[in-house]
Amino acid sequence: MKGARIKFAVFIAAIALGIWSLVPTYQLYFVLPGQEKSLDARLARAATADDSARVQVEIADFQRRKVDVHKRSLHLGLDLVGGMQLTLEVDKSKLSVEDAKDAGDRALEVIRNRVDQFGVFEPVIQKVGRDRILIQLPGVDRERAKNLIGQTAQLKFQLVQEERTTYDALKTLDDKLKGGPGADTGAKTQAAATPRPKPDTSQLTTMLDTTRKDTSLAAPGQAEAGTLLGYVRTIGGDFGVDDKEYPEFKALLERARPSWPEGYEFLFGPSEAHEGSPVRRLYMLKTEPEMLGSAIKDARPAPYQGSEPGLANTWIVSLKLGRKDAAVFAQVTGRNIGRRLAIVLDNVVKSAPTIQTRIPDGNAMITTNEVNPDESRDLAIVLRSGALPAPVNIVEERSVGASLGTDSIRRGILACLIGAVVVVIFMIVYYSVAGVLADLALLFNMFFLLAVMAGLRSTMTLPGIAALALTIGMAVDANVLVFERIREELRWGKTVMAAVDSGYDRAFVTIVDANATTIITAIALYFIGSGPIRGFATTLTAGLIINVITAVFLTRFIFDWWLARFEVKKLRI
Amino acid sequence: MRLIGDTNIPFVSKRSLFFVISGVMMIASLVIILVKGFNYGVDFTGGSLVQVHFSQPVSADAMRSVLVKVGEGGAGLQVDEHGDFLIRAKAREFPGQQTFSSVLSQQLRESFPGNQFELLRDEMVGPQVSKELQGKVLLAVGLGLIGILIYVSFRFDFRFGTGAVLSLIHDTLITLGFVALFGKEVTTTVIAAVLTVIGYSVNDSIVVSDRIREDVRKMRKESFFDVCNQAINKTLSRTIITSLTVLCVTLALLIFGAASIKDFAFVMTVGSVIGTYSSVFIVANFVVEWEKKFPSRRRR
Repeated sequence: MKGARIKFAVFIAAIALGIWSLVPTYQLYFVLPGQEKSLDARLARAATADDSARVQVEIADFQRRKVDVHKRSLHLGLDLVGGMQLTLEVDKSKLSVEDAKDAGDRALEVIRNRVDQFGVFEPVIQKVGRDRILIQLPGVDRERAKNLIGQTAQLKFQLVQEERTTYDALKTLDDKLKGGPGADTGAKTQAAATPRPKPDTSQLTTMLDTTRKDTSLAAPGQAEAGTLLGYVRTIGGDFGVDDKEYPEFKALLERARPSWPEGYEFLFGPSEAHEGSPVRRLYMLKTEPEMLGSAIKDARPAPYQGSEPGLANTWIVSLKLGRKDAAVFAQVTGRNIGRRLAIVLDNVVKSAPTIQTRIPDGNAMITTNEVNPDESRDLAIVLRSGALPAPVNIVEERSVGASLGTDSIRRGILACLIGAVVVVIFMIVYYSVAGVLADLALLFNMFFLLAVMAGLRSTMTLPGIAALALTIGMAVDANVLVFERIREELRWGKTVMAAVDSGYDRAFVTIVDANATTIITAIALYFIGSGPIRGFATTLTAGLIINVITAVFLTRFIFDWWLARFEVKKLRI
Repeated sequence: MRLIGDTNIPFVSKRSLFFVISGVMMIASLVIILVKGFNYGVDFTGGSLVQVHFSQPVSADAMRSVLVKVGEGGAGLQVDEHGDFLIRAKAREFPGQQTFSSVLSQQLRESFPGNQFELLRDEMVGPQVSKELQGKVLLAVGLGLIGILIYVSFRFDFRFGTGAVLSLIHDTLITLGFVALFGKEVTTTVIAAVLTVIGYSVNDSIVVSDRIREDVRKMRKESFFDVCNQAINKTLSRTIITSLTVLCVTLALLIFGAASIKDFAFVMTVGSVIGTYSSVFIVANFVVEWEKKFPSRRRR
C-alpha cells in the first residue's frame, strides 16, 4: 500500500493548495464586505474629530488590504458586478506622421491618469491592437465616466473680439454668402424649409447701442431669413443662437469658413438656459491662443467666492500656472485689461470673463455654473492629467447595470445548484454507492475548478457560470463511462477487483478522447476574445481537464481504497 | 437501478429510416435558415442595444415617441416579462462623446421627469468592431473544426473520422435550424454554445466509435453489422445517462438562468438532444453503409 500512501499525500496536498488558493476569494466576497460596513458605521458614529481620524486611518489600512486580497482572488466580470466596458480608438486622422507614432501610448497614459484620479476600484486599462484602448470600470456613474475619459481636454486661452467687430464680421459673411455662387442655393432652401419670423434686429441694435454708444449700426432689416444674422439674438452681453437652430446656424457658418476674417475663428459656448429656452453663445476669437492648457500646473475644484451674484453657490475649477507661464499670463492680462479672455476647452468656450486687472500670480478659474461639484471635480482631474494627443472615439461599449449583474449571479448560482442537485440525486439513485463516489468527485471537481480559476486570477463571467453548469453535467460523464464498463465486466463474471480494474483501464482512452475534442473547441472559442466568452472558454477548459483528472485518478483511488478496506465481494453498481 | 438493461435494438437494420429522418430534418433546417434567416445581434450587425428599467411603468407608445424624438423611430422595441424595454438601434454617428444611450438617457429624463430609470444593459458595437467580431467568430469556428478534424483523423481511421464529421455537420445544421426557426438572437454567446455543441457531438460519436473499434478486434466471428449494432446497444445506457445529466443543467439554465444566458441554454439543450440522437442513430450506421458499399479488404 505504499503507492496508496503517496497518492493519499498528493490528494491531501492538492486540497490544501486549493484551500490556500481560495482563501483570498472567500475573504473578498464574504468577510471584507462586513468589515467595510462596520467601519463605515463607526465612521458615521464617530463623535469627535479624533475618533473620526482614527477610523479613517483604519479605513485607509482596510482599503490597502482589500486591494491586496483582490489581486489574489477570483474576479467577477463586469456582466456580473455591473460596470462599464469601453473600447476607444484614437483618431489619428489629423495628426502628423511623427505625432501619430506614439499617440496610442500617450492617450493610454493620460486616460490611466484620469481614471486613477477619478478613484475607481481596480480598473482595467489596456492597449488593444495599435491604437485602441480597452477600459473596464466596475460600478461607476457611466455617463460621467464616459465624459471624463473621452474628453480630449485641449485647453486654450483666447482673446474675444468686441461685439461690434463680431457683428460686422457676420454681416460681411452674410454678404459673401449671398453673393457667392452656390452658397446661395443652400441658404434659400433652408429658408424655404423653415419659415422664420422676421428677425428681431431691433433687440440687437438696442444692445449694441447701450453697450457701445459711440458705434453707429447698420440699418436694421438687413438681416434676412437664411442669413447668419437672421439666427443671431442677444444673450446677456453676448450674441447667441437658439439651441434648436444651432445645427443649421453652424452649418451655415461652416460654409462661410473660407471667408472668415484671417486670424480669427468662431466658437460657441455650451448649451445653457436663457429666459426658459436653451441657447448657445457665439464668440469670435483670435485663433492664436494666448496660452495653452499645458501651462497649467495644478487644477482643483473649489466653491465660487467671487462677487458675481449669478455664480453664487456654484463650483469652479481654480487653475494654477507654472512660474514661467504665470509671467506670460501676467503680461497677457496686463496688456489686455478691459478685454475679454475666453477659456476654451475642446473648442467649446467655457467662459469669457473680462480682464479686470493684471494677474501676476498665475491664478485663473473656470466657472461651471453648477451647484453640484461633480463637473468641477471631473474637469479638474482632466486638466491635471493633461490633454489627449488626439480625439478618441468610442467604438464599442458593453455596460451592465449593477442590479442586472446581481440578478444574473443569483439566477446563475440558482440554476447551477438546481442542476447539480438533480444530477447528484440521480447518480445516487442510479449507481448507489458508486453514485456517491461520483458525487464526491463532482464536489471535488467544483472545488478544484474554482481553486484553479482563483489561482490563475481569471474572471468569472455569466457565460463562465454557464460553463460551470456544463462542467457539472459533463463531470459525471467520465464516471458514467467507467461505471457502465464495470457493470458490463461484472456481467461477464469477473471478480469485483478485476471488473473495476478493467473498467477503468478500458474507459480511460475513451474519456481522454471525448474530453479532448470539447477542449479543442473551447480553446478555439478563446480566440473570439471578448471578455465573457473568454470566461466561458477558460472555465470550460479548466473544468474538463480537472474532470479527467478527478475521474481517472481521484475516484479510482477512493474506489480501490474502499474495496480493499471493506473487502467488498459483491458490488452494487 | 438500471434504466436501460441489455438491449438489442436493431439500430443498424433500420438505418434507412434514420437516414430519411435526418435527411428531412437537415433539409428543413437549411430551408428555414435560407428563407427565414438568422436574427443577428448587435455583435454582428453593429449598432446599439439598450435595456431600460423604469421605477414606474411606462407604456410602449410613450417609449416609442421618445425614440422618435431622438431620431430613432425605426429602432426595434421590445418589452420583456419584467416590463423592461429592449431597444435596438442601428449604428449611427453622434457628435462628440455622445452615444445612442447618452442621447436616449437625456431624452428619457426630459420626457419622464420623476420616473427613475436604469440602463440595465448598454451595448454599442461600432461598424468596424462588428466586422472584426465576424472575422474572429469565423476564425474560432474554423480553428475549432480544423482542430477536431486533425484530432479525429489522428485517433481514428478515415471511415470513423468521416462519420464523426458528418454527424457534427448534421448536429450543427439542425441546431442552427432551430435557432433560426425560433428567431433566437445570434450573439457571440450563442456561437459559443454552437461550438460547444460541436465539441459535445464529436464527444458522443467518439464513445460509440471507440467501442466499435474495440469490439471489431475482439469479436472476430461476428459480422461487422452485428458488431456495430451491439456497440450502439452497449453504449446506449451511457449515452442516455450522460445526455440526461447534461440536459438537467441546460434545462436548469434555460428555466432559472438570467435572460442573457437563456439563448445559450436553448442552443445547448437542442444541440445535446440532436447530438445524442445522431451518435446513436447516425454515426455507426454511416460507417456500416460505407462498409457495405466499399468493404474493407481486411474483413473479407
